[in-house]
Order: sequence, then C-alpha cells, then structure tokens
Amino acid sequence: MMMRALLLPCVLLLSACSAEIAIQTEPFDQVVPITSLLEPVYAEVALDLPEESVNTQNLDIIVNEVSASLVVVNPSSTLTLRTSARLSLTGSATPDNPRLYTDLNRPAYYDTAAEILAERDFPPVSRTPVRIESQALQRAIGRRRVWVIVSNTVVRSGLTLPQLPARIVLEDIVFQALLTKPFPGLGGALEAGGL
Amino acid sequence: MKPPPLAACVLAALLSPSLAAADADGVRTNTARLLTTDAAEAIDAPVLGLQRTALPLFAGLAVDTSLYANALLAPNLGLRWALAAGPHRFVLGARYTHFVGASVYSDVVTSEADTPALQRFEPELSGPSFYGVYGLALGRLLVQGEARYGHYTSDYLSFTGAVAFNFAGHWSVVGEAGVRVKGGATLRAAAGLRYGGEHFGLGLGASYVDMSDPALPGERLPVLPVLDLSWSFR
Repeated sequence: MMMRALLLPCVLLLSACSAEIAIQTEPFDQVVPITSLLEPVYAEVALDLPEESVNTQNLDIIVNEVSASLVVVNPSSTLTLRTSARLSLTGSATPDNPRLYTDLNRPAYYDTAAEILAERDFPPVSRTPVRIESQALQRAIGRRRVWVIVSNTVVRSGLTLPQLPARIVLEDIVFQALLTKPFPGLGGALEAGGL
Repeated sequence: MKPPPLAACVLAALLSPSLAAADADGVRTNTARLLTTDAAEAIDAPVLGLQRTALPLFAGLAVDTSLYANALLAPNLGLRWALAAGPHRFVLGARYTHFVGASVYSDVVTSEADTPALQRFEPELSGPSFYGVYGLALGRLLVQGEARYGHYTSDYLSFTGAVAFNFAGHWSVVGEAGVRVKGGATLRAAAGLRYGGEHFGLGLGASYVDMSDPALPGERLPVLPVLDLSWSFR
C-alpha cells in the first residue's frame, strides 16, 4: 500500500489529464441448489468492485463499456432451467456468503433491482456462455459492492421423474469495465515539467 | 591546508565571475524558463536543459522540447518565436506532445496495485498546447504575464504573472502567481532562483500546485519542487 501511495502520484504527474482504466473482477463460480420444481430459487451473490472504479465522485468519468460474463451450466439430464438476473445496489450477501432464497422470503429490494439478463431457458446438459451488456450494469460503477441476484426456475422436461435436489452452476462470473477517468486537478504537474 | 569542500568550490565558481561582472544585463535564464512558466526572453544559443532544450533557428524562431517530458515517455516538440523591442518582450509558442508510455505505466501500476482486478491503467497525455508571453524588461527587473492553453484529454488554461529580479551577477530571484481557469487548483504560485551563466543554467524553487484529486484517495500534493539544469552552447 505504501509503495502504491508513492507510485500513484508519480504516474499521475504525467497523466495530468486522463487515464483509461480497464478492470475485471476475478472469475468465481456459484452453485445454486434447486429444491423444488416451478418455484424460483434466487441466488444473491456479492460482487466487490476494485477501488479504481469506486472513487468516481466529482469526476466526469466516462464509462466506455461495462459488461458481465458467465457460463450457465445445467448438468441435469431432465430439467430445463429458466433463468434471469438482476443487479441490486443493496443486498445482504457477502463474497464469502452468498444468499439463497425463495419467493417466501424474498427481500423487498429484489423488486427495485434492475434486470440485466432477461429470462431465458437453458436446456438439460448444457453449457451456455452468457454475456451481459445491459445499460443497467453502469449503475455498478462508483459502488464498492453490488449484488447480482439470479433467479432460477426449473421446469420439467422429458418423461422421467426429476431427481431433486438438483443443482445448476454459474461458472466464471466476471465483471468488466472500461472507463476513462479524467484528472483535471493535476495540471500543476505539467507546469513544473516544462510542458 | 585542508582543501575546501566541493560545494564551496562550485559556489565560488558560480559566483565569482558573475559578481565580478559589474554590468549585469538583467534577468537571464538561458532556457527562457522561469520556474513554471515561460520567460519573456529570446533564446540566443542552443541550449540543453531539463525543462527546455532548444535550438534557435532565425528571426527569433526556435524549436524546443521538454527533456523532462521526453524522459517520462511523452515526446514533445515545439516552435517558439520571441521578439525583443526596446524594453518589450513578446513570445508566442506552440507544442505538440504525444504520449507513448501508456503500456509501460500501465504495467507498473497494475503490478503494484492491490487489486488483481485492475487490468490496465493507461494514462493519456497527447495534444497541442499554446502559450503567449508579454514582458517588460526594466534593467534588472523583468515583469511579465503568460497565458497558456493545453488541449489534452481535458483542457488546461492558465494566466500567470511573474516578476524576476537580477540581484547579483547572473542570479535572479523569481516569483510567479496566477490562476488556472482549467486544469487544477485555481491559485498557482512559485518562488525560487534562476541562474543563467555563460554556459551553465540553473532553476531551483518550489511551486504551489495543490494537486488533489478524488482519484488519489487521501493523497494531496500541495507543493512540488522545481529543478532545472541547463547548458548553453555559446
């Protein structure tokens, strides 16, 4: 941290104007157990964003691109998974402790969360890469922690009886952002350098 | 006898010829730089300096570059015109800077960063800048005003007044004060010394920059040192 405290001003001496910043959270997986048919199960996962995207108050930050990607894996041979995702700016999950809930104990903030992935079906035994580029994702910029709430409903398919509990896996969940951050307050560095 | 310390020798070498010269010809910096602003002065000889390296061409024109910026991977090239008419000094200059070190800086920052999430951090500093100076040379006193505009990713605009007084030999004391209309804290100021000898030139001082930015959490840089060394080929 010390090293960084020294380094950042040095770099910014020159970058007295702006910097293009690309951030990408580390990929993580989330397992969602399915305990009943036709009833949605919600998995709320916390996503901590790097501080480079957080300290953006009072800055005319330009958000060039925000996206999230993940692979939806449905290992079941009989169940079709119906999934949607929302981005919430409040939540109770932590990165170590995701929260699972159903319609019975669904928190009120679910209704105010912005939909980032419209409901779609994932067939049995499938791996589907999903890329989310919803405008709503931009709300995450400037936040230290955001929550993604994935709603999962399984619908029976085929004639065999489903084996419950089943599970679906969300793999390699990654949040990416490309920002241009101006540093309008650092003109003094140019003056001392002769520019 | 104990030999005098090196510093004393250097100081003596700097002072003695200049103090001996009774008729000092006013403020001279060699590089036409005060501390953080351009000096209302014609560049009369090729000069190799940190803040400015310049090659005079003809009719008051010179090409110049900032070695500091070049060393920090921001190659820059400028054209400067200066005219002395009686006590009046006029300067017009333009410069283009093209930053090439984005990936180098990015690698350093991301390797030092606490968060592996930071993939790239690429500073941008490319664009033209323009400046104009008017100065009045009254014997040992130089009074001047500078306007400077830079069009980088964000704009920079400042107006700065400066006074320099040639108090002994080739030594001058310099004070600058002004406003930044764009590009940082409103008030700017600097104070220090300039030495413009036959060959050697020196600028030493401090500038009030008050650099603070929400991007620097907890960081605040009120004052930057100013150091300029130069060598003139007369």
